[in-house]
Amino acid sequence: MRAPLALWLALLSSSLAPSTAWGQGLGHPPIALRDAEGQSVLASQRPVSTHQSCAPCHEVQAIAAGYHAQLGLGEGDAPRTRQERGDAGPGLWGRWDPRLGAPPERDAGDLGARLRDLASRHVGGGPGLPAGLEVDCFLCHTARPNWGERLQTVASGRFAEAPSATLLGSGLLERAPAGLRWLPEGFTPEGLARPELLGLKPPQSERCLACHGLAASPGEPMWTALPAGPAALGDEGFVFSAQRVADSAFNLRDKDRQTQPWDVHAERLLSCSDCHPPLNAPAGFREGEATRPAHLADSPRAPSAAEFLRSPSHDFRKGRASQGTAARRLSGSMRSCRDCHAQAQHEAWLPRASQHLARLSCQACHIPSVRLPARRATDWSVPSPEGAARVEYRGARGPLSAPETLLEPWEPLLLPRDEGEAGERLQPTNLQAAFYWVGGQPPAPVPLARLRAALHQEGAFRPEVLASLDRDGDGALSSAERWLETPAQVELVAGLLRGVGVESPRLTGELLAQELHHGVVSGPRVLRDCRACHSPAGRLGSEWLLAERAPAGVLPALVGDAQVQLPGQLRRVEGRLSYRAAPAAGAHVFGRTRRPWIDRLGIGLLALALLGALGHGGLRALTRKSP
Amino acid sequence: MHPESVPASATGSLSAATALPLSAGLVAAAALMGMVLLGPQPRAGGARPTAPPPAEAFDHSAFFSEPFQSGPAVTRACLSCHTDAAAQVMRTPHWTWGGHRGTNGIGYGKRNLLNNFCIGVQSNWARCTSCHVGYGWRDETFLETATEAQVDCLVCHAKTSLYSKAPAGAGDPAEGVDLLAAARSVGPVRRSNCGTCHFAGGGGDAVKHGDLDGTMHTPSARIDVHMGRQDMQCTACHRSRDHQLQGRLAAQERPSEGRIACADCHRSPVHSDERIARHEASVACQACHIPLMAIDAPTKLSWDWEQAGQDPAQVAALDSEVAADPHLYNKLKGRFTYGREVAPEYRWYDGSSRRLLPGERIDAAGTVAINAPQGDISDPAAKIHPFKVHRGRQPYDREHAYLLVPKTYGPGGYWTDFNWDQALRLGAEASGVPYSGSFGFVSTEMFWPLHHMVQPQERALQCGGCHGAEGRLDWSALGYPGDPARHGGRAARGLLRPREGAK
Repeated sequence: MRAPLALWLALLSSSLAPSTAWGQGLGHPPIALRDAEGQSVLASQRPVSTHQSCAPCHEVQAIAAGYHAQLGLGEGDAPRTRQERGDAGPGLWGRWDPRLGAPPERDAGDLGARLRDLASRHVGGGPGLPAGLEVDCFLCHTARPNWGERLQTVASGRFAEAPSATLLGSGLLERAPAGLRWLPEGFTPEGLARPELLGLKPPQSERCLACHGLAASPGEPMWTALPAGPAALGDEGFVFSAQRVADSAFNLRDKDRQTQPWDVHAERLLSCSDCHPPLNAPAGFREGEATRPAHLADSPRAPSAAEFLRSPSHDFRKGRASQGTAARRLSGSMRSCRDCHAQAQHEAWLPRASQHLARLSCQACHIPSVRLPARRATDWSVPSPEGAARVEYRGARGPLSAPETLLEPWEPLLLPRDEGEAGERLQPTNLQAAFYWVGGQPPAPVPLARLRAALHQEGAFRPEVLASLDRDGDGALSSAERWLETPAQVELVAGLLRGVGVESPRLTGELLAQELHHGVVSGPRVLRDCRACHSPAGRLGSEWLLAERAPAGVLPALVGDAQVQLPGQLRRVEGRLSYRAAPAAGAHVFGRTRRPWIDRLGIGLLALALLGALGHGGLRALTRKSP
Repeated sequence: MHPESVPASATGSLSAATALPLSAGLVAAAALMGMVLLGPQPRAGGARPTAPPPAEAFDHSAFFSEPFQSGPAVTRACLSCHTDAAAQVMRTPHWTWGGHRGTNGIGYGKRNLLNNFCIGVQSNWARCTSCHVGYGWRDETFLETATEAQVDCLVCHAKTSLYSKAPAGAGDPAEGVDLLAAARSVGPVRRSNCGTCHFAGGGGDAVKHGDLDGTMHTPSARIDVHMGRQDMQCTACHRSRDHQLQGRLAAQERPSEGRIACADCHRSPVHSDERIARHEASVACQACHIPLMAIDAPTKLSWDWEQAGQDPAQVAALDSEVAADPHLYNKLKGRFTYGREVAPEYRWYDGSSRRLLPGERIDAAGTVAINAPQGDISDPAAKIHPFKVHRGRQPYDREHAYLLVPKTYGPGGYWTDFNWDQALRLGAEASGVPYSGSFGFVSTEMFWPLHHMVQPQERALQCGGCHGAEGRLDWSALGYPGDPARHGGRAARGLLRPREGAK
C-alpha cells in the first residue's frame, strides 16, 4: 500500500530532526488504524492489526522478528544452558525461568497455551504470528498502554484482539457487549486516529521498565502500588529514575538521608535507548562483526534517518550480563561505561587506579547497594494450592505487600565476571537460589500440574503433607511452613510424586546470577572505603545468604551460561544456605588474601636481619679490645 | 546438624585461593605506609560557607524607666545616645520610599510607582504608610515636613510581641501599645521585625511575595535552608552600614552597588560537578535552589479589580471556586487566585527591571508589564532567574492610555462608595495626572524575583526539572532553538553577544 504523500513528507521531516519533533513529543503523523483485512477499524469494528496499520511506513515483518518478539526462538540448541532442565533455547520461549512462573508441561505442544503462559513477557510477533498474536507496537510506542486489558485478552486466548486491548482507555475504543467498539469521536473526519488519543511516540524509559525494572513517574512518589506492568517490587530491586530516593513513599531505612536519585544516569536525562539503541540507529552506528570485513575496525556507512525509520531494527544493543540469555550474538554491543566516561579522574585519589579499573567493574563501586528488595530464593518444592512458589526476598523485613514493611538497602555480591577481551572483573550481583523437582528421562522440571496432583486435594494440601509440614499445628501451611526441612519430608513428597507417575523425582537447585548494572550512584555515594574490600570481613569475604530455608539435601549449582564464577564456598547450616565470598582464584587482594611466599620472604628477611645484627654484634664483642 | 560446606567450584567454577595464616610484617608495613601516603585525598571545592554570626544584643532595659506618651518621644530618647541614627534612616529607601534614582534624577519607589495589588499609595497614605518606618505620613507633604523624631526606631528594633503599628494609622503605634516595654526590649533587628512589613506586603501574609511569608518567623529547613537550618537573620545578607541595607528591589536601572549575591558567601568553585558548574554562567543560583515558592502559605497569584463591588453571594452563586472558598472574592478588592507550592516562572534577568512610570502610555490591547525584567539570551550579564508573576486586571484611563491609581481608602474612596469614576478621579488628583473620565480595565503583570525559600542541593531542581520532556522551562520563549541539553547552550549556539569592552 502506498502511503499518502503528505504522510511521507511529515514522516521524513520528523525523521530528519528526530530530537526536535518526534523526540520532543510533537507527535507521530496521524495514522489510519486498519483491521487484518486492511479496512478501517471504524468501519469494520474489528480488532486493529498492527501489521496492516504500521506497514505502510515501517517494515513490521522485520520488527516482529526482533529478539523481543522471538524470545530466543530460533537461536539454536542453546549449548550453554543446562540440558537437564529440558531447555530448548536460551530465551523465555525455550527456557523455563523459575522466577517468572510455574514449571511448564514438558511438551506444551499447544502454541496457544505457551503464548498464554508468556502473556506478561511477550510483545507479540515472532512465534505468536501463526496464532494471530501480532507484535504490539502500542505497548512501547504509546504513553499509557493498558497492560491489564492486554494481559487479560492474551490470557484468554483472544490473540487478535490484544493490540486493541492495549488501546482501551485511550478514547479510541471501548468494551461493548459484543466485543470492542471503535468510537467515531476518536477519529478525524478523514478516518485517521486522533494523534492526541493514540499518542504515538518513541519509547520512553518507562515503557522499557514496565518489564525490565521499575520507574517513577515524574511528579508522583514511588510506592508499593506501582503502575501496572510485568515488573514488580521485589523482582530485581533496581529503579531507573531521576526521582530522589527520599521522595518515594517506600518505608526505607534512613530514608531522609537518601537524597540521591535512584539512578544518576536517569537524573542526567539518559534514557534506556541511549545506551541500548537499535542496532541500525544512525546516531552512533557501529556495523556488527557479522557483516563488517575483518580488515575494518569500524564502518561509518550508517543508514540515513529515513532508512532507519523505514526499517528500524528492534534488536537493541545489549551487554553481556548473565541474565541476558537471549540474543547472545549481541552481547557486549551496547555502549559501556568506558565508552562515555573518562577514567582520568580516578588517578587523583584512587591508589593503583589502573589496577583497580582492570580488576573491578565500574559498577562494583558505583552500585554499592541496592535500595529496594530483590528476590533471594524461589522454592517450587511445595507449591501452594494456588500454584505459588515460596519466595524469599533480601532487603525486606516483612511482606512486600504491606506498606509498613521496612525496606533496607542490601550490598550486592562481588563475583568475577568474564568480560571477553577485557578479562575478568568483579561485578556486583544478586545471586539467587531456585529449588524445584525434576524427574523423567531425560530429566526435566516437574510441571505444576503434576505437583498439584501429588500434593493437593480439593484445593488444599493432602493430609499427610499437612501432618508433616504443619509445624505450628494450625491446620494450614503458611509460606514459611512450605519448606522441606528434613530428608524424611523430601522423601514424603518424592513418594507422592512417584505416585502420580513422575519417574525418579529428585529435588534440585540452581543459582541464578542477576548482575546489577542500574541504580548507579555518583559523587559521595560511591564506595570509597578501601576496607569494604581490603579486609577479611569485607565484601570479598562476606557470608551471602542464599536461602533462609533451603530444602534438605540440595546444594544448588550455578546455571551453565552465567558469565560469572563462584570462587567461594557454599555452606549449609541448620537449613540456611549461604555462600562464603572469595576473590577469584589466584587473585591477591591486599588486606583480604595472603601470599605464602610473601609471608615466608618477610620472615626470612626478618630472620636474616636478626642474624646479621647478632653476627655483627657478636663479632664486635669478640674483637673488642680491652681498655 | 553438622554444617555442610562445599566449594562452589563444584558448579564448574574455579577453586578458592588458599591462604596461610602467617604474618608478613614487612610487606604489610610497607603496604600500610602506601595506603597512608596514597590514600583518598580530600575533595577540592564545595566547602560550605559559615553563616555570619547574628549581632549581639545589648540590654537597653536599664535606660528607660518613665512611660512614653508617643512614638516620637521614644525616638527622642533613642537619639540622645544614637545621635546620627535618625538622619541616617531618613536617607534610606525605607524612609523615602523613593528607591534608586533613574537617569532623569527621579527616585522611583513605593511612593510614586504603581503595582497590581493595591495599585498605589497616592491618595491612600494613611493606610499604606502603616508599613513606613516613620510616624504620621498622612499626605504627600510628609517627607518635606517630617522631623527626626518621626523616625520609628521601635518597628525595627523592638520585640514584635511588644510593639505594632495601627493598621491605618499612617505609621503611628497601635492603640494600647506599651511604649516603655517596647523601648526596653530594643536590640538587633530580627527576622520578625523585617517580617512585620515584608512578610505581609500587599495587605496580608504571603500576598505580595511568593518567597516571603509568615512561616519564616520560625522557619524549618524545609522552608529555607538559610533561615531554617542556619537560623540566619535577614541582616546576615542584608547587611547595613549607617542604616543603609544591602539589597534592592527590582529598580528601573541596574544598581551597580548594594546588590546581594549568593557568591558573597558561596565562593567558587561551588559545584564540583562540571556539568552543573557550567550552568553558572547562564542560570541564576535561585533557578535551581528555589524550585517552589509559597511552600506552606498560599501566595496571591492574581487580582482582578474589575470584579470588585459585587454582592459576594451572587458571585459565589456563579463561581463555584468562590462558593468553595470565600477568600477568593472580596467585594472591596475583587477576585483573587492563590497558589501553594507553586513552580516559579523563568525569565532572563540582568538584575534590573523596566519599571512602568506614572503617566507612561500603555498598550491596553495586550498585557502590560509593570516591571519587566531586563536581559535576554544574548546578554552575557543576564541569567535565567525564577519569578513570581502576579497577574492583575486594574483600571486605566482609556483616553490617556495610562494606568490610574484609585483612591480606595477613606472618604470618597472606592471601598467606601464603590464608585470607580469617583475613586479614580480622586486618585488622579492625588497622583498629579489628568483623568479623562473614561476608564477601563487592563491586564497587567508584575515580576517578583525570588531570592528566599532557598533549598539545599538535596532538594534543588534536578536536570529533568528544566530539561527533557517534563522540564518546566519554555526554551523557545527564552530564545533557545530547543532544549539546550540536546541543542547546546547559548554560547555554543552563537547566541551570546560579546561583553562590552571585549575585543
